[in-house]
Amino acid sequence: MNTLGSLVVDDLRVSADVELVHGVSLTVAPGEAVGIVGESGSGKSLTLRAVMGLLPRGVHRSGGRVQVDGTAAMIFQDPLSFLDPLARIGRQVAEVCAAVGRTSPRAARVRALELLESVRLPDAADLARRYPHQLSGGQRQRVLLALALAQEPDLLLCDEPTTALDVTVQREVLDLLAQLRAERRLSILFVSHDLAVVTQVCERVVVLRGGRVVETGAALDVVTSPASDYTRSLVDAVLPLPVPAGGGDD
Amino acid sequence: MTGTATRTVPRPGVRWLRRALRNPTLIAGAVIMLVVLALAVFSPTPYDPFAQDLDHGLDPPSPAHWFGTDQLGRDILSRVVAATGTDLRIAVLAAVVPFVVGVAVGLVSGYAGGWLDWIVGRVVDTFVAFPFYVLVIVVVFAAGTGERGIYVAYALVGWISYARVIRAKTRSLCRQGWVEAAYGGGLSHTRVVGRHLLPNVLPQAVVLLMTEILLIMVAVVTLGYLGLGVQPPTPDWGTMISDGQLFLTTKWWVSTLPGLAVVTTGVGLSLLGDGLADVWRLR
Amino acid sequence: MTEPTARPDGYPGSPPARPAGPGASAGPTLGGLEVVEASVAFAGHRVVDRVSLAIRPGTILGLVGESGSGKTTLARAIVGSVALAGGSIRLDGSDLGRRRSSAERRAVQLVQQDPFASLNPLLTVGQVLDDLLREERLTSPTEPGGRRPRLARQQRAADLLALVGLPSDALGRYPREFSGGQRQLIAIARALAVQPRVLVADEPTSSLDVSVQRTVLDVIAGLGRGMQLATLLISHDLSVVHAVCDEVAVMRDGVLLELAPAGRFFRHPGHPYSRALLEAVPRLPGR
Repeated sequence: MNTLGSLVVDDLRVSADVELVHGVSLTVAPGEAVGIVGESGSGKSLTLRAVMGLLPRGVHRSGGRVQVDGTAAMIFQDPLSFLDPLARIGRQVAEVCAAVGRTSPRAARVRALELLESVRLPDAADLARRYPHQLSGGQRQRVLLALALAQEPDLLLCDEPTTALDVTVQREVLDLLAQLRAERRLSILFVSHDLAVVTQVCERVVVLRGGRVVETGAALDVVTSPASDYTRSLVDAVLPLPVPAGGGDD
Repeated sequence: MTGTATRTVPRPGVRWLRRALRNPTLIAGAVIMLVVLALAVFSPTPYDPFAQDLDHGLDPPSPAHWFGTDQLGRDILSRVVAATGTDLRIAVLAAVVPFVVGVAVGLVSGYAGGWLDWIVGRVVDTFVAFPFYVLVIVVVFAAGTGERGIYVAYALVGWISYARVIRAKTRSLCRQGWVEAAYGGGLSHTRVVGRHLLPNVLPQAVVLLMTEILLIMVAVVTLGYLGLGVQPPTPDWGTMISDGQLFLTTKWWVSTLPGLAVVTTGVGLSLLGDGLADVWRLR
Repeated sequence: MTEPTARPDGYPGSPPARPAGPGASAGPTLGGLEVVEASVAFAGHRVVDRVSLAIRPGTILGLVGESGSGKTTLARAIVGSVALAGGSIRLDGSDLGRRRSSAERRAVQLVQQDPFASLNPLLTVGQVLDDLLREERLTSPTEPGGRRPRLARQQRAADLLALVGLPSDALGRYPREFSGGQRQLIAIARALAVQPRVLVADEPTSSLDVSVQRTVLDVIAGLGRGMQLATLLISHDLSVVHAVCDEVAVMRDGVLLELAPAGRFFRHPGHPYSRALLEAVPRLPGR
């Protein structure tokens, strides 16, 4: 049975001076997309970083178990802080390719261009010669995706990747994510404060509050008939927006 | 709505004091400086610092003279204590005008921006291009040696450090919304700078003041050593060090003990400045 | 529309503000804010390109656009922080120049996006309000022609806080003791303290948790209408605009693409770009 891409988080605890995450447990099955939602201070971002092993300074895992089957890669909310401002895009991606595949620099560059194309960046060869500040927010996020894919991951961790993007760009990036997921059979753990985005991307959702799991279940179920009052208040707080008449999403 | 979402905190003065008392750097600095200040103010000299006793010149430290005597038989401990008052007084007084001028220039320049800020920037750059002591010595030569020269020199040159730091701090504060909101609320520029910006830059200015007093004190001592500062017979650490350099290896106490006094005061000021910076979260 | 029951933060729920009916169309402007062919240029490039719009007292115009649309720059030009390269901004018929008098500055107030940088950390809420109230050279029934005495100012400050739903004991507290949502409410109270005619809210809820968005929006809308202010609400979030605005304006690359009453805009957007924006927003199933 293929368990590549599965994730088990059991009673995870994360602390700085005080405990910030109090025993969070969740699972991601191979090929599944699970969302983590919560307000600021809910511990959703810390949980994700703990899974990746990328906790900020002064913060450490203080308990619990994290088990990833396969390789995990991560994309972040602010791509600009994760790209070297002084190196061209092509070189940054090639560096990761070379490190992962232990290939020659030339083979790595070829692979880098392939990856940039696979994230639907138009005119990849030209873009590879540019610096991060010369790209738009959406393009930079695609580059982060390319960097993540370079590691041939089985599990993709996403920390609010579209929160800082314009809504039309967000849609493109989420579509791309869905496509890549299908093509490469990725598992996804997606953190966001935006319930609508999470419902669009994920099958299951975990609701966090104050470092604890409040509710978990199928995304549609949790959102349409929430079991806990807190989740209900989160759902109710989402401002509705009617769909324009005639036209729609086709 | 109930006020449940707000936390009750003690008044800021109390919080500050608690934080201050928990900070070892600040405590150490404050203790040292309190002792130094007490010595400067009360000047508890066991002997008259001017009284000469040529029969007992260059005596090593003894129960009668804890710090020994200098070449004219004067008690070194008394002179060190008396010099504390002299040197500290000059340093603090000399620091006042640069502090006021520098903070004002920094505030106005940082707030106004534009051509005013540009001009101030070029003036600062010009001054900074010269080695500091060279400037001070030149001014002292022109204005006359002794206390007056030091005050004039620092008034002309000492404001630069404050201007640079406070200008940078002011510019970063101006990027915060509340500065724009104050002006947008109809307050005059003077009001915005004086009532809103000034209290926010003062902590940084005060910490810098500690360092500046230290630097001025060292400069006073240096000028004294060079013969350009406080003139004898007024006791001054610098002249005392200079007096004793001829017999540094044989009668070490004449130069060394005043030197230690300088170092101790310097360390005290440094610790006090660092401690304040910690408590005010500036580092 | 559902009414929230158990709010996680304890704020009172209030019925959602309904936008005004279809009467919000062109007619002779009776006071309010007028932007006439306004342009702003940075380094030769037009960031705002001949934008015209009008907001009547007591109505709320929502300005939407993606990054680079120029909406924030336009807001800053209206408030007077940025100079116009062309066109004019008028309040009740008279031009607001770049250099504004104290009274003109008070007439147009801004509520900013970042609640954590919008309040002086060293002053209590009461001191901030008092500072502004002291500058009021408005005649009051008790003090003709002069400044209000201290007690009157304190009372007025407490009244302002009550208007935005905060208790009067907030007067003695410092900004750091409040949450982001509460700070925005304080910022709104501060804006109202100087009795403005125009309120510009620049992404007032973008930095806040979803649970408090509604409260802040309701306060802005309720007070804007109640005090007959011309309110400009800027947001990249269409659902925010839908919640409280009477009219909607869409900008892209400095140009105003569409200006329509809210009801019509959300059902039948005129411009293809507006439609694309509306369709791109992910929606929660069942809402």
